[in-house]
Amino acid sequence: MSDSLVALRRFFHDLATPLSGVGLHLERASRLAARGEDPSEAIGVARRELERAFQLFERGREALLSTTGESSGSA
Amino acid sequence: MRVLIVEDDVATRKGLELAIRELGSQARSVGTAGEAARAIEDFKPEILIVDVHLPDGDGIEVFRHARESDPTRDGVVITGQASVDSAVEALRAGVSDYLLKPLRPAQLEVVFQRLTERRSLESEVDSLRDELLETGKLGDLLGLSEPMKKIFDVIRRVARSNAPVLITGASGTGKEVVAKTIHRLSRRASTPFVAFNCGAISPTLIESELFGHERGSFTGADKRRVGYFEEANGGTLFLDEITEMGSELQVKLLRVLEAKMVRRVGASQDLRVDVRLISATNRDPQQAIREGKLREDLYYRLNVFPILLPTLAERPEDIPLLAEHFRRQIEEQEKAGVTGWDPAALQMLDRHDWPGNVRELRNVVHRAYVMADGGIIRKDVLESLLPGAAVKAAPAARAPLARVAKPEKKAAASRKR
Repeated sequence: MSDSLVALRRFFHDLATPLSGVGLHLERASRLAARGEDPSEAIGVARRELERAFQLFERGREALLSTTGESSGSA
Repeated sequence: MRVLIVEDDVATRKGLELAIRELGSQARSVGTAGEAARAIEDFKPEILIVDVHLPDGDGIEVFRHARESDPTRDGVVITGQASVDSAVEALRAGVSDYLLKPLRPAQLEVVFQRLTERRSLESEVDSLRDELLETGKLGDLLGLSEPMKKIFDVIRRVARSNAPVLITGASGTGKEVVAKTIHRLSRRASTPFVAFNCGAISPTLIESELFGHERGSFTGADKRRVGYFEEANGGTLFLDEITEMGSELQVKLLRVLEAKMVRRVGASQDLRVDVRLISATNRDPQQAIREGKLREDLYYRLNVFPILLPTLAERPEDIPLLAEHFRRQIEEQEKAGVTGWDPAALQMLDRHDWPGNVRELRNVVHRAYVMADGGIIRKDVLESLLPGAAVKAAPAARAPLARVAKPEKKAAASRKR
């Protein structure tokens, strides 16, 4: 397997973990809200996991752009 | 249900733990293989949800270790990196499901509910097994005789499998009851059980009944009809009197069994079906093959698990138990206050040959019940129903006879007061 494929697999694996957290905690928040309970803690965890996913995504994009020689700031 | 989650990512771990609790189970979660080993000892989980990659080991290995101490444990593997090798390894270790990250809550719920439903079915099978040991009853089947104990044992084994079953036995021995019991004890218990008697319908119509037809496919087909195979999809189809099916149709049935596809009459496409087939005949299958009534290739396909039912005459010790069972059933429906048996009446049942087997016994009990006119079923009522039995010598009293006769004595005593 080429290095780029290994990196891609790694990227998807890393991204899948916080996305699982987002899904699970949002589902919990929606169940809590439906029961009239406070969902803020579950929403907070989901938000943190989403932030983690964004960071991984941006890091992945930076890596991709650097290998193609483009700048991350270009329009 | 106790569920142990083994996942190193804290947010996923806690999310899973809370989601499993929402689904009504007890959940505990740990982050390493080492912690999992301790939790398996303390918490004694029934289900494990394990991540493949753990900081200090392999999640599938954790599950394998958990199964060594309790082989009934179930497992779900989760991973962010799908690979054929790890999926095969997980299946070999005995895990029930393999979930890919990112986990979707709805997907997790489906997998988890399927698992808990299967476990509760298995526990129902266990309780039926206990019931059998205590009362000689398995589903709607009843018997304490050696031939029936063997049949019960075969049914329990067969129920766990999806393989075709061929039930043979004389008319009235309970072939359909056996088929229903197999279905009820199987993992398909909550899915349809569809019974079809191939001898009860014109041979020309059997194909469209079994496989369905499209509108306009033949004269009179004014609308589309779903066949029994499609109706039974996901469940069990019971085909009685299989040898009454024409040879051409037997070839089509063989094809369905092999390809797991059916085609409605007049259709141009096949439909995939998942049906467990149980078939039955009151003929000797080998003789039916010689007579050209049953194709040999179909016979081998149907006869993966053969069950030969004994006649009632071959298990006479079950007659009093069955008679009392039927009396109670009829009393529940008709509520005429027929509370038991005169022991002499039960002995008469024992003297009859029962060529019509259990079905004949049930009919006789029903007629005796109606004629008893309240109270208990007496000998004179049976003498009119079974004149041959009245003149035969009585066999030695058997244990079940004595047991069934007890309530009658109480009933007689209470009337004297």
